[in-house]
Amino acid sequence: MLFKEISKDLDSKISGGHYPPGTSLPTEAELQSQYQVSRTTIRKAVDQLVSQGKVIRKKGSGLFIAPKISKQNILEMTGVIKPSYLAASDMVKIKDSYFRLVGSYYSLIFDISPQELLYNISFIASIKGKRTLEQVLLPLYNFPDFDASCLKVVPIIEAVKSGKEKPVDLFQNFQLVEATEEVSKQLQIEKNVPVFKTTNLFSTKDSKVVAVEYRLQDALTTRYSVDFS
Amino acid sequence: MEFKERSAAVKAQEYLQYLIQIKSEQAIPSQRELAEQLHISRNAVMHALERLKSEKLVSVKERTGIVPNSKIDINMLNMQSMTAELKDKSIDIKHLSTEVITKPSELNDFFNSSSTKLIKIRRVRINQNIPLTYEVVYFDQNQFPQLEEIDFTNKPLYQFLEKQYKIEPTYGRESISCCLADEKQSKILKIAPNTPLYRVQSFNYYNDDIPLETTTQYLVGSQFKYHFNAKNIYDYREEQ
Repeated sequence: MLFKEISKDLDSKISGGHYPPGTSLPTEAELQSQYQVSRTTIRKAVDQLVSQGKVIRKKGSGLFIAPKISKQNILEMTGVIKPSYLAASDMVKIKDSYFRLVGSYYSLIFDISPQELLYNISFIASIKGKRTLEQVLLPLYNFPDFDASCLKVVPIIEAVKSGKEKPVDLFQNFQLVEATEEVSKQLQIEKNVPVFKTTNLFSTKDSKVVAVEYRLQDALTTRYSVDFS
Repeated sequence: MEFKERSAAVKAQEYLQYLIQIKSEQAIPSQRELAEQLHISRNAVMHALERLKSEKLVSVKERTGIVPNSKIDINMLNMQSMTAELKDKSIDIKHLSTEVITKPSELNDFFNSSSTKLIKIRRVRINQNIPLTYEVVYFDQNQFPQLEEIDFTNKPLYQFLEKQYKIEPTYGRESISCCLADEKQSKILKIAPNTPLYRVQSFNYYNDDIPLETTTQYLVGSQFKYHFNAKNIYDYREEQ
């Protein structure tokens, strides 16, 4: 097989949803045995997809299907508050990802039993040297096989669409809080300095919340914008 | 992915958030009662309270115990004036000053190049003797010469513009950042210097993108929160 044919085949699997945005592509070795060609041919095929912006190569983490929603798309959303440096490329470092019980509070938020499970994923995103502390809570029933590493390439707003029930609306809460000791360490700022906390609730057309995101940023160096029409 | 038990402090924090969320008629249990009910240490309860206090979700008082705080929640749903957003509160608007100034260079991008003089109006919004917001509004003097004469004490700007000029804003953008109150702001808002403030800048337009006014608002950080409600967020492509 020619590298162009392999590239085309992978491309159709990506656009057909066989490999959804943010998931990882099989490794070059796996692809090599799948297509029964040389490693060079595989690399050329993958390189072509990378240069077309369809696949992202992340150092040390492998190959990912590129997101469909660009940062520019997010910046153009009206009525949504977003940090102004969003368009820059970022570096994401997953800190923690585990399952936890829903518990009483999130049972109200997600309208599910307190005994069910939630993914708790937290990570630090560095954008132009500014750190953002993110925490994402996803109910297991809606995301039976969520892969946290997709957050390295896909914006949360797209990652939360990968579940069984798709969100359509976004409710945002935005407030000034103080950095606790924990937050000040993560954001590398002083304790008690002001921090902007954005809470994002993604909900379906039936107003059922399917994802919660908390975003913390140094308030004195972050500016947000929102457009209305 | 592994399973992790929530820490005692997180359990206590979420239990308190639960109690606040359901708006129970009963008072929030004391720190000692919470520790007993949840089978956790007093230390864990204190840790949870530190987190909730950092968000001004509760305050802890000597006699009354743990009390939920209510911030003023501003709905930035659409092009609403501050007056409409605060409609449930008994707010007094105090007019501090009106002056005509030469257009500062940072507003060149917003106002037409033909405008050279701006009307600058400074006001404070007060709820039960407590100042909540300080705002500075700029208009083009050529466009709205009468504004110079008006006393805007307890008079909403947008209502006046609608009545006098039949003008309503059609499009706007806002930016929100944070600053620490300087001496002047802390005096006007009656707060300690260096108190964190929301700094909200808005640029509003009417008919065919004509600049209407630009406002800078300063709001006491601990008293306010904002919310935004965006529908059909994934339909952004259709608008292009």
